[in-house]
Amino acid sequence: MTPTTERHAGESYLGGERTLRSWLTTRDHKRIGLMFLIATSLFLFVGGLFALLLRLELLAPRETLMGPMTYNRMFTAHGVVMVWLFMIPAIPSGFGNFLLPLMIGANDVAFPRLNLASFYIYVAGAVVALFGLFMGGADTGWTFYVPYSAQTATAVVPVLIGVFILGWSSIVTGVNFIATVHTMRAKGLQWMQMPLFVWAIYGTSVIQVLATPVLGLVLLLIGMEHLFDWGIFDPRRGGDPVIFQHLFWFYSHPAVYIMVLPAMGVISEVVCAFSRKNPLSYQAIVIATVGITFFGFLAWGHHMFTAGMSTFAAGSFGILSMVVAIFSAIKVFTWTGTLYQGSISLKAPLLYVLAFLFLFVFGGMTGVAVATMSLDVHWHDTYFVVAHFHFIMVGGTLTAFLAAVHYWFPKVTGRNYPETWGVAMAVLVFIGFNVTFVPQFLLGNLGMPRRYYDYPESMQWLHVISTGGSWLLGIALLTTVLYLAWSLRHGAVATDNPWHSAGFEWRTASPPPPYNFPGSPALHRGAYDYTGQEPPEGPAALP
Amino acid sequence: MAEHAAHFESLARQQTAARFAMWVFLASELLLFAGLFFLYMCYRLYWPAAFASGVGHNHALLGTVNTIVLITASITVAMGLRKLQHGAPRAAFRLVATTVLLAGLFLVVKLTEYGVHIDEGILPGGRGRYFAEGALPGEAAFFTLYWLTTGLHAIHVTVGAGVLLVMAWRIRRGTLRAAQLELGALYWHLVDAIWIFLWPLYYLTGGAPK
Amino acid sequence: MRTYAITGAALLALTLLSYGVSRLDLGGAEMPVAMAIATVKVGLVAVYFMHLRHAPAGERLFALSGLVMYVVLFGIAATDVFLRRTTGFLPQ
Repeated sequence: MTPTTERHAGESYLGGERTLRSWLTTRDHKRIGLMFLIATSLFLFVGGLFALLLRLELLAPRETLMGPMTYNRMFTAHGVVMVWLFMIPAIPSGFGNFLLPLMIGANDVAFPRLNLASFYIYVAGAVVALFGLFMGGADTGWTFYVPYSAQTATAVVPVLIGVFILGWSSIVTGVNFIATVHTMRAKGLQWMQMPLFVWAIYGTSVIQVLATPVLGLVLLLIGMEHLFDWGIFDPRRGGDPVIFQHLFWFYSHPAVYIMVLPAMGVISEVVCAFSRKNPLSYQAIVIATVGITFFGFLAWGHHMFTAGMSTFAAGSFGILSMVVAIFSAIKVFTWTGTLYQGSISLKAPLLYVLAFLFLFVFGGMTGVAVATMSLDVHWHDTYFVVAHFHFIMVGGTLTAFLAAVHYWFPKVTGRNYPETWGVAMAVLVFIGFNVTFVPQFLLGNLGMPRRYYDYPESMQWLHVISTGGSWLLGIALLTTVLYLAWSLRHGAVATDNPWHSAGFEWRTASPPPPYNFPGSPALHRGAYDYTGQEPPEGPAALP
Repeated sequence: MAEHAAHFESLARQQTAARFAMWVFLASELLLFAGLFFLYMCYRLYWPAAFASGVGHNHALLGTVNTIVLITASITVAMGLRKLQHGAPRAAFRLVATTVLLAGLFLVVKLTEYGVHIDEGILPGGRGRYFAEGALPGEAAFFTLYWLTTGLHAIHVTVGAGVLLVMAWRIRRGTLRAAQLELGALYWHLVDAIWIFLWPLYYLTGGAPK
Repeated sequence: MRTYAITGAALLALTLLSYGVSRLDLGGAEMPVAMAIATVKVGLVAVYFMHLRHAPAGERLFALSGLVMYVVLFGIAATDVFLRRTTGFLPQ
């Protein structure tokens, strides 16, 4: 089944031409994916630095480190960088690019040149957005709500243009991946045999393609408002700012699933590989993925409960939001069911998955709580909501991203990372995350509004704990980068399939050769089929 | 040129992929206009009289002429594609070139209309003489949307015509495959389809003519 | 070619019909009639000019998906704009 993978130096996609030029003009999905991973990780640290500075300011009430205007600009920068430069592209454009063709037995994505173009569009958008964030610094928050975004004196327009350009990168990659899944699958690979990560990326791409243009238009309209004062959302000229919110969240709520669906795909892969089992129900996860893709589009109004929406609409959005929670819960049950009686090896990737399961359930349950209209009136725009979405975004997406980084590190680089460090930092990420964000639930419930640089002294002890947690999280992430960078040179050389995974992407060399598979890939055995399988290679057999 | 890209197993599969990707992209393009149509629906609900008055003010005949121009352009590009598929590049060239010319005509008419609006003092954002002289409340919103929507559409017409112009040139040189022209044609039909909805919304539904 | 000629003729005829109808005083029926004609026309363009008639399932799926998103956006958001107290479509 496994194609022969005799390796010679220079045979992998990393070998051959090593010049910078060969990287910058590459059409190889693996190199493009790796460039996306490096770029998005860089922005994770930029956004993380902003977060640390924000938490530092909040260590004590009143102005300590920065004034209110700097604070406003910084949380905007934190939001914009984390949402559009890290979370939306990280797993889909990074790992998706690297793995999608490998997982469907293709040589490359359907349109390699377009794929490279998408990377450069991303870079261009990032440059423009960062230029705006540093040169004038928008202070609107990443949500750009009118009427404030139309009136603010800060440089909101370059940021809008930057995000608009980033949207195109998202759309182009989405179109490319959808076409790849539809037309590039290896002979005999049916839809219901595709790896679950491919399903997740497919669903994500659909959202990227169908929702992003609406955001693009809205950003253009805000830009017009700001530059020319056209009054599209100005009530004095017949406009309605609530319509802006509808259109903004029509993209930005599904965008949450752009961030979390790929994360779920990662979880599905890692859970199966580290419990050496079929998923409890492959169909359930596929149905839930498709369900989240569709119902994710129907829930946007729960961001607007206090915006003056009709009561009927608010109630409908509340119920529709809970439907999404049902699909998410199906997935969580399936993953835990997969772990049950599995042959578990508790390595760093699986630790991150366990962290994901806990944090995602916690974030999801509080999500159901804030989707309840009457409760949301109390929690809206407080730290409760901040904590809730960080549980999904950081607790969900970031831990899944780290699981992916560790699980596929040997695949991408051909080296192993030091397991002890991996385990230790996974634990520290989990602790640091909880210390940072659990107090924020309490703060929100006490009435601490989001986006304020000041607070009453009675709240200080919770803020201090939260800031301390943010340092733990920062140390853990920094250490992770250090030992991963160390492993690039000094890590043990990995075998082709160090985890003995049945996944399709492991059925070629690690790192893979330029055209992925020598000859036609043989994908007869299922991607999660561990029944009666000896580990494919190597001396390290099952315990 | 005749060879397919290395990562596809056949030319047919590559062409299937390209056409499919075009459809996915068209779905995306369609959603780009969704926000503007949605704003139109909401604001028309808020300001029915102002919107009817605004539509009535627009030149229905010019709009109708432009609709006929665009539909004819759609017919010619569809026929041009069929000609190229059946190995008649000369006829295909003439038909696609006609489409480009019609697109140009559409833009000329549209720009003339914009000129008239500017003369009348109807500018986006409720600026200009027309609004100063006591337009209905909400008419500013109508005309801002008018400028935005038709403007965005005109950009699409320009892009589509540009693509078809290059394609026409390549048909003449004999370097264009029918499958490639099909992608341009699909895009053009979408531009046409969007106008088919814009036209009644901005030119026809103004209540009984004065 | 014949198909295109017939489709094109139908489109032009519907255009004239739509223009003619708009000159009548239809009152509240004006918008629905105009939208219905436009929908038929776009349907003709999609099915015959864009070959959805013979298109593979994937292409139909995405043609449909764009439409579904319109229904979602307009349908759900309408529950707000039609029923909001300030717009007054609901008895106060």
